[in-house]
Amino acid sequence: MKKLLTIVIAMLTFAASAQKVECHFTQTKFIKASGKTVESEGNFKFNSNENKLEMNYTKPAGDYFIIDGKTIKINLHGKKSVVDTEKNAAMRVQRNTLMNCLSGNWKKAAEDNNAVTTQTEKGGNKIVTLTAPKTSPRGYAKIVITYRKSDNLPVEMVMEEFNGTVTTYKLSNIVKK
Amino acid sequence: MFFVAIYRFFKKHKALLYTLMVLSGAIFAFYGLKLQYEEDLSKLLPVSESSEAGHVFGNLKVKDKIFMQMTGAEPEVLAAYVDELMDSIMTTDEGIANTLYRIDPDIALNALDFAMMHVPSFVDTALYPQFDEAIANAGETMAHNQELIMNDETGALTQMVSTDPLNLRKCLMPDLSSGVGFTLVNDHLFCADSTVALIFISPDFQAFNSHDGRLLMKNLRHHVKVFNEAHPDVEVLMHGAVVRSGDNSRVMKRDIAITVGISMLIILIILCFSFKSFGMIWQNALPVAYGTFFAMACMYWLKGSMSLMSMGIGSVVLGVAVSYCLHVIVHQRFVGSIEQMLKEEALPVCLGCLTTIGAFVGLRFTQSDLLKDFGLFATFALIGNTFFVLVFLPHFLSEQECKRNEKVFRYISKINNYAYESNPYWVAVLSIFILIGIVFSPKVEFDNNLKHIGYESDNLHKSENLYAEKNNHGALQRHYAVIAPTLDEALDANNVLSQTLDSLRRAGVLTQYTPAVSVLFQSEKEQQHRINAWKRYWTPEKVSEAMTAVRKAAVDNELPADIFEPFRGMVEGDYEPGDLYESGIVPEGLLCNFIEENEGKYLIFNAVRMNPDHKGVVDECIAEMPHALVIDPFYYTGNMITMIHRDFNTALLISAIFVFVVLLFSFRNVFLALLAFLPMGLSWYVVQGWMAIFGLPFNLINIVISTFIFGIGVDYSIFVMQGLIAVQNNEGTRLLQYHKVAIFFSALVLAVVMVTMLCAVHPAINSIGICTLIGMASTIFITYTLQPLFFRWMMKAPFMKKKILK
Repeated sequence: MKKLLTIVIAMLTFAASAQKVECHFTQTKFIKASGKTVESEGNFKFNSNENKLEMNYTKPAGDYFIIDGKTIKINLHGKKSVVDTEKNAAMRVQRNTLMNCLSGNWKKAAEDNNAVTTQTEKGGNKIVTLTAPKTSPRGYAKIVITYRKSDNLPVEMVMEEFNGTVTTYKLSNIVKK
Repeated sequence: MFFVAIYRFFKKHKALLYTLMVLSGAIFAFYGLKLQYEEDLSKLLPVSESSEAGHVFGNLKVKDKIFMQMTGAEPEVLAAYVDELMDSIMTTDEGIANTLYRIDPDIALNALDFAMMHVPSFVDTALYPQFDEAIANAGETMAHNQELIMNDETGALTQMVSTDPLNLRKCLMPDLSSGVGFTLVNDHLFCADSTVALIFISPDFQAFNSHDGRLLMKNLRHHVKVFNEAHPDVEVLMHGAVVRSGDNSRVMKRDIAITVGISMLIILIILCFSFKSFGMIWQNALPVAYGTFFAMACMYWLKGSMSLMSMGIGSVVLGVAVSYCLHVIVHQRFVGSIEQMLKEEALPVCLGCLTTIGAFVGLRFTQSDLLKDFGLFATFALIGNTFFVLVFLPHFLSEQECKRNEKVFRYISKINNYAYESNPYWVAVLSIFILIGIVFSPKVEFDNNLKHIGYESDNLHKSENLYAEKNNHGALQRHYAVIAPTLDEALDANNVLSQTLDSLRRAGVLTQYTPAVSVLFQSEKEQQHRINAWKRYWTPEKVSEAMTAVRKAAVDNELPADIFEPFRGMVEGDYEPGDLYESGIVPEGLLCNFIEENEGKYLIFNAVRMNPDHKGVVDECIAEMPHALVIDPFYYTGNMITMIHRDFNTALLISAIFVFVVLLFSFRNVFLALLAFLPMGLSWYVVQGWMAIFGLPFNLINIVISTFIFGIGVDYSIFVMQGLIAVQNNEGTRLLQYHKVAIFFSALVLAVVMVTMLCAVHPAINSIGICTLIGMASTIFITYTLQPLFFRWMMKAPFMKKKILK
């Protein structure tokens, strides 16, 4: 009976965490070294059940960043590449971090990155901060994710690299599917 | 008398004869047709048990690569065309292990990721003094960094600079890109000037396997043809061992079909015209077919398969088989009695068969499977043929049928009956001819380059030249490798080879050498050694010194000082050895250019360029190193062929002794045996001498055919000797005349075959024609002139005459 109960709880937890959303996003990349800011935007699709994330850029048009299972497909200014995350540790970490953070599983993301976490609340949002314990040549020094408390959906994500480059994603017009 | 008794027995039991013949023929045909054929030219080479190189070399995939080149359009167009052609080829990828024609961007991303995770593994301990220089020159480097950062629109370059502000990557990968010699256009491989798109196809079989090679080449040619029809503006060229092997197989088969077809047609016309009988055709063909099926069945029972090449060479032996048929048929037509024919022909035919087999027996003592197969096939074919000729054929000959074209026979008689031995001028000319042959015979050369007996098409030649012109710039590109049971051992051995090659480059012996493998791949032990060295170098003091220099340089160049934390992260990081080979990061098509696993052993390849004159020196230098290999099929096959040549001389000696012993037992007189041996012995030196004079070298193919000259030479001399003895025994010149007519037709048949072979395009078949024609001519001349002359001289000695006349 106890076993059955455990399975039911696990299934319900999975169903609750399963998300399928579509929205608009803006991306602001601030390169501290040069002081430049690069603005981009596009459409965002996320399906945690299928391990799929699509960021189709309308600015610059045609660019995309797609996570499809274990594969990452990138089109950066017409230069296309398909990366198998099984062969690329950095991309694997990036994929897992993104998927976990977007699906609300930030604890797992913190665990994978040995990150220190803090959690605060502001208005109707929950703000989670993941901080790397030590300097690394790759990855992020800090990730700050803002979740909408009502449905635990992310609305903003700020990713700060060790060289000071900060990328901010803002999600709007979120539609649950 | 034995065969006469058999003849009489079967004459009374015709049903048994036909049953035996049809049944045995059907059994031989049934099993003979089950024989499998190998088209592996490497079987020509001896099995080397001592040489590590030879043992593994045959299976190397890297030497079997097909080089495909596309030219005639703009680089971007060619890149798209390459995709189109390769998509078409890969729809049926049978026979293809992997391809390399584009380097996808993810490969670079993955490689960079691996490099970042294992930075110390790529740092040779000898590089640390350069690191010190880099720290000292931080100011200069930062100025360049500042430029990169300010022009960066995506953040990627900034990330690179913040991780490596001292440009240490330059120390790690010195001129690696220049050594590759290729360029990328839209991720596609091109030669340095971007005019030729490159495609490398690795087959999943050995290049010497011409059967699979032919199938793959047929497939590739089909796709190229379809592609060219759609895009006539571009040219697609191919070369490589598989292309060469496929061309060889195709041209050899075509040549054999044409030469055999034409010569058979001419021979049949001559025989039918001379004997005014179409029966001659099947009377000659049946025993040969029976002998062939018997040999094929025996090969099937003994081995199950045989080399197609050895069967091709063995088909020349059928010429000897036809010779026996002609002797029996011609003799019967003269005497008009089958029993008398058998009385007079059985012994010389059996003796001829035995001595010819003896000539081939020597091949059993060689180390080459192909030569052994050839010897065995020839032996069985002759046994089967002789059995049919003496047991079955007489029952198909009519005692009444003595038709012949008298006009033709008058001419033949004129040629045959001329007393060549009595013409002193002719004897003198022949003696000089032989003497010159003997004198020059030691000068004959043996061409151990297997390339020279192979066929080269124009397309292949053009492709090789284009590749050399665009990529090697007149220099010779060559590959050297190391081999070891484990990858780590191979990598350690490769470091030694790499040092040697680098020292040869510095000495100017090599024009180019890039230690790509030793930069990219290291053994676990070496990696751990390097990681320890990294830790020893990057002490807290050194890190502080470097960071201070970087920060100061950054501020001097108006860059934020705190953006270089990733650099600190890199030098202070914890590292472990990595396994790039197993990581799957380097695609198979690219990886097989560096490392190959072969029969449980690992091979690591190094490409170098050099002046062609230095090839021998470098080859010898590398071949002497432990675990090192010269990646050139002809370097080792050259050695093996020299071994075969040595073997072959021994084989010839064994054959000669065997033949002489048989002759001695048969004639029971050492002088007669020597005389019968004379045409065979002398003609061997004549062939060698005159080939030397004409500048024609022996090669692996035509030297094998020399056993055939032995066989036919001894046959002719036995028949003539029988005739000469009959003359001395006052039995008249009848027997000698009959034998000479048969010899005339036999020689004519072989001459027609040889002359048609001279018209062959394939160098190997062509060389058989010239070699055998010289051998045949000298054999006939010696048999018709010197043998009767010496015999007559011997008969002048009373004790000799007394001994022979019994």
